[in-house]
Amino acid sequence: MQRPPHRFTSNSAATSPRTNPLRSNNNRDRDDPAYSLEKTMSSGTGRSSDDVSSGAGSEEVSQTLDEKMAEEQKGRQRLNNIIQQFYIKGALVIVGARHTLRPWVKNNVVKQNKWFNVVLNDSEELLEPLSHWRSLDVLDDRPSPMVIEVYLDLNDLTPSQTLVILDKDGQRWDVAESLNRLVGYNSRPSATSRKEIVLERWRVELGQASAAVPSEAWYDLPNAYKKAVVLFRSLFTHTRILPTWKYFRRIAKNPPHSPALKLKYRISNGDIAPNTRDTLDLSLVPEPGSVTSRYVFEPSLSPVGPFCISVEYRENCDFRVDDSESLLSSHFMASDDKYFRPSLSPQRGSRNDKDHVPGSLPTRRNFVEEQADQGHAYGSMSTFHAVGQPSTSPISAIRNAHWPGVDPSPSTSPPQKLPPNHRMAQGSKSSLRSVEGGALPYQRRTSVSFQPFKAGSLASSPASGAMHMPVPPSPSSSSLGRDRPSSLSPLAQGATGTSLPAQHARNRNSLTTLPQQALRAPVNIPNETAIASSASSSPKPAPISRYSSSFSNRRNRFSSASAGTGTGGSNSRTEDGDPSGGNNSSGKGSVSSSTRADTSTPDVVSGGAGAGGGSSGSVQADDDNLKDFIKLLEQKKELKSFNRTDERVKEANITRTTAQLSKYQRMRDSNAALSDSLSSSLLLHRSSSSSSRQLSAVPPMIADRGGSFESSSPGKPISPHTPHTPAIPSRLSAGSVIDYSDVRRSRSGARSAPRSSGRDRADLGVETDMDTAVPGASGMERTGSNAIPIPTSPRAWPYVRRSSSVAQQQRQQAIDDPDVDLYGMRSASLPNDDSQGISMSELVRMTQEPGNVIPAAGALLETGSAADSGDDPAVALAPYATGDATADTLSYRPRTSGDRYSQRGRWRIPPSHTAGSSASSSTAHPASAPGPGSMSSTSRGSRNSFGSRGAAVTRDRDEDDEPLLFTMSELGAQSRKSLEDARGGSSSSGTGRARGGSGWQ
Amino acid sequence: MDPTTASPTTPRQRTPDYTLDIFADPTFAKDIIKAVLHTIFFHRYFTPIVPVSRDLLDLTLPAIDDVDLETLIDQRASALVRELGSGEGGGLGRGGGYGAGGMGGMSGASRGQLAVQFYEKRRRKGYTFFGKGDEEVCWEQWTLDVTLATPRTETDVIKVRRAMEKSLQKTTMKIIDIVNRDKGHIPPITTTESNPFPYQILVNPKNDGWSQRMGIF
Repeated sequence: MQRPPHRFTSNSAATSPRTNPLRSNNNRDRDDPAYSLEKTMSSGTGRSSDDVSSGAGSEEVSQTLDEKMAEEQKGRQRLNNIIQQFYIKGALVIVGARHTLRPWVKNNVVKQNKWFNVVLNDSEELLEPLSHWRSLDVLDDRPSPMVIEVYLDLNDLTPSQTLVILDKDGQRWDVAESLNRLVGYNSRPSATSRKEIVLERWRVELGQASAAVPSEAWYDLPNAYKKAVVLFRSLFTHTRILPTWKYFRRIAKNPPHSPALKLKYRISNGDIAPNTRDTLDLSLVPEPGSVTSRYVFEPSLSPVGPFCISVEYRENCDFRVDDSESLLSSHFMASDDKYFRPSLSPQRGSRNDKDHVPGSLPTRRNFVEEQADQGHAYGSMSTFHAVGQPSTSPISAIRNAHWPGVDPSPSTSPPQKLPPNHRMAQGSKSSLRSVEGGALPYQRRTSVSFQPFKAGSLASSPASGAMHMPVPPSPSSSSLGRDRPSSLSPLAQGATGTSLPAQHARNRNSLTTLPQQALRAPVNIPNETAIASSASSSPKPAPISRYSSSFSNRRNRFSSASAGTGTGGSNSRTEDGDPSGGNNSSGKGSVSSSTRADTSTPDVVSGGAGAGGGSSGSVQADDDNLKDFIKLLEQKKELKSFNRTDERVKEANITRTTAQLSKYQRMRDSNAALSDSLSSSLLLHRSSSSSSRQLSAVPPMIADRGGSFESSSPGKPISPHTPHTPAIPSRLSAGSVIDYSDVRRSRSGARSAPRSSGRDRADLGVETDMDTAVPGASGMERTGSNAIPIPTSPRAWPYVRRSSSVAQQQRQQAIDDPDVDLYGMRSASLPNDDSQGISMSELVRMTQEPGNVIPAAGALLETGSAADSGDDPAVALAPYATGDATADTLSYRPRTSGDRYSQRGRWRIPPSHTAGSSASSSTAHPASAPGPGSMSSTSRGSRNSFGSRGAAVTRDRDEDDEPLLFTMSELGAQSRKSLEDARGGSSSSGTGRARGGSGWQ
Repeated sequence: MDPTTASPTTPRQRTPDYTLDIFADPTFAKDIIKAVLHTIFFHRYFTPIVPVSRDLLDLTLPAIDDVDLETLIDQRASALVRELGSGEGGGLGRGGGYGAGGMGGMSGASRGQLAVQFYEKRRRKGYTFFGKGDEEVCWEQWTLDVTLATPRTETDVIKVRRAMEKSLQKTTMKIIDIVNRDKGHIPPITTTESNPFPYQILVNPKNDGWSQRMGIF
């Protein structure tokens, strides 16, 4: 028995060294007195020492006595050590869970307290407060209880800050106000006096021993020690369950700069200072019932009495630090989220309806709050950042809080680095993000991660819309969604006409859920569910446009072929857009199409066919995307570092975006007009369109866009416009649209996403600026003019391309080139998917672009330029340069580059974009790659063969898939080749070429 | 106090068996099971440890940073989840073999059990089966009744998630209460160098009766 204690003691000895200074001295000092006392006590007890001493007469006895004395001394020491450590350990565990204790480094070694088999870093910080218990002697006198109070000190707040507490309904209550009212603190006096709110009061004490302490109490120490092990283990567990822990954890997770009130602790002997009111049980919220709970650990018995630990704690520790203004706004918000939402944006309302709407609130909330409040959306309102973040759901907001820094970092290579899958995922994520926040990548991400699908998207999108209102990106997403929705919806409806929209919507929902929803929401309004899909489609359109463009190119070349292919892909539904879009769409659709395809057989089939490989890829991409999203969510942490830097960028971006936004807004009008025209044309086309024709037409549409945007694909562009509308619809209908929309959304999201898209756009914009000639790039700028629509479409393309390019940045480059070509070429290569997608996407984009693209571009430009440029300056530049080379393509390229950048540079958003793009790209790439370049020949051939859609489709798919795989595996080398081929084939685009040359490759 | 030291559980003495109800959906089932197992071991792993914690479902739970134990826990949790859902979509139907009873058909709920047993090494001939030599006697058992729910709708997903979180916290508190309440049966610790108490985790043990099984091992 003794040995065990020895062990412990040995342990204690190890630990004691620290305390030794105090303890050993004290102990020793005491030991002597204690000893004497003990003797007396022992005599009282009627045992040993006296008796022994009495018998000390004989030598033997004396020896025995000495031994006993020594032994007793040791035992007493052990006992005291255990009791001392009981307090020390209790303080270490409790304080360690509420406050970041600096490790106590001595001689380059972190001192550890291993008592009770719970190894914790010792803290010098606790030496002083614990001095009383460190030197106690149980047998000497009963130690006083140790009371640890954990509290918030309101005096730590800056004048502009307010500590608020959220009630169950999320309403904020000013803590200081409650304190003043309830405790009678004067705001004045409080400043100087204690102004705090106690959250927890721990009480650690040694209960009264049931009987007199036996002198040999230490004999049973091992058992007491063993039990104490369990006690402290459970104490450790329990400290992490209490509400205060959640507050502590939240604070710890917040960015350093974020306003937060750190927990303080105070160790006392339980004496309450006079004239102070206990604030632990103060009710800070007008809610009935006790505000505290109590937990008492089952006493752990020891020879000298039971170890008792209990805690009284405040149940609601949902504190936040707000700006005074935000608090006011929060009150309003609290009054009625819905009202606010509507005011903010119709979309928000919808979002809000779906979910709690923290999103709408978030915007209002301060950054800090947002960060602090994961669920609450309020914070965002105050700042743009917030806005971006707000767009996302509460969760997203939370994430955003973390993410903010991420954005900048995202701009860094990460996205690029991400594997194809990641890219895909990212792409999807990005799409989601874009949908949600459009404006802010963070938001998007956040939205995605959190409630990606549900409220998040809606809320986010609305939020973004609201947010974006000022900012181009948001406008793009929101505006696009809104404006286009109507136009789009028709288109989508017309194009898809079939169930596709719904499916798309579904797919989108799942994938981009939130973003899509947001888009959908707008869209939905016009066309119902279909609308939603259309909304989603709008985003998709962009992606589609890419594809379509590529396809269109192909189609142009292969006009018949494209039709055939388109048929293959699009056959099922709208042959028109489908063919071209089919393939592309399939690719894009693949993601969304996978579901879609299934649902709408024709479209699906077409999508599948067109997508073929792409579709499969797309499907996988979807799954991957989802996974990626999840991963992304998980990865958010990583992004944080980026976020920090990003924040700066964000600010810069914000300013830029605002400026751009204005442009975009202008563009919107033009865009809206365009969209209307497009929609009408689309409708017409749809109605009239023979799918194949439409498809062919679609490519032209794309081409037109490209043409307008790019000269490279002029031929296509020319035919495109009128055809485009039809083609677009078909594409959209193809379901690929949906996918595309998703992708586009992601892309668009990226685009729309203030930062990511903003960046990309910014890049693009920059590029465009650089390339003034570039329609798409200039789009924003151009938007001012009627040309805007075109720009939008180009942008869409670029976006698409970007996404694709982004998706496989490296590959993408190649791809991008293809994409560029796509604009011209890609449409050909991607034609199936793209064409569909493009047509749809384009239409959508057209409609959306004005608003979305442009705004996004503006935002992107700003953000992108800042962040992206920072991360991928070279890249961005390269794209730009390339962009310069080919004006239109450049614009596209820029976009691609931008996307890439955004993807790359953009946090991971790029990845998402890339992912999305990658997904799209992967799908697209597969499709596009095969289709455009090498694919074009093969795919084309296949496509031609596709004429028999089914077989062709399958073939295409296989081919596409393989190419995709290769591209994916090989990093898109093949795809690049294919792209190059496509480019070459398309030749269309110098821009594409330029890109390829420039840099992507 | 001494009872503990002396002979925690006399042979025929009842071995404490604590039952914990665990509710989870397929997504979190494994993590939740692992978290509960870690929490149990956290209070029963008597070697010095650096306490660590992990976040799950907005909860922070303790964990044992020990490769061997962690591997075992992961394996068992995986095995149970496998039996539970026989996949993800699964959930329906097959309850784990044990105790699933009729749950299978019910709205995608399935059940399974996990038993954690702690042993002490005894050198006495004791009352136990084997006359001589070291023998391992189970001095405590924890039974995890895992109910797997497969939400069908989004609202269900949310509800289930909340229920899971609530259930997990409740389970954790229950563990804390139990380990603090019942300390007397913990056998004396005779070594500090290694884990003094061998343990075992059984997946879907037979119904035979936990109560009887004492001597089996």
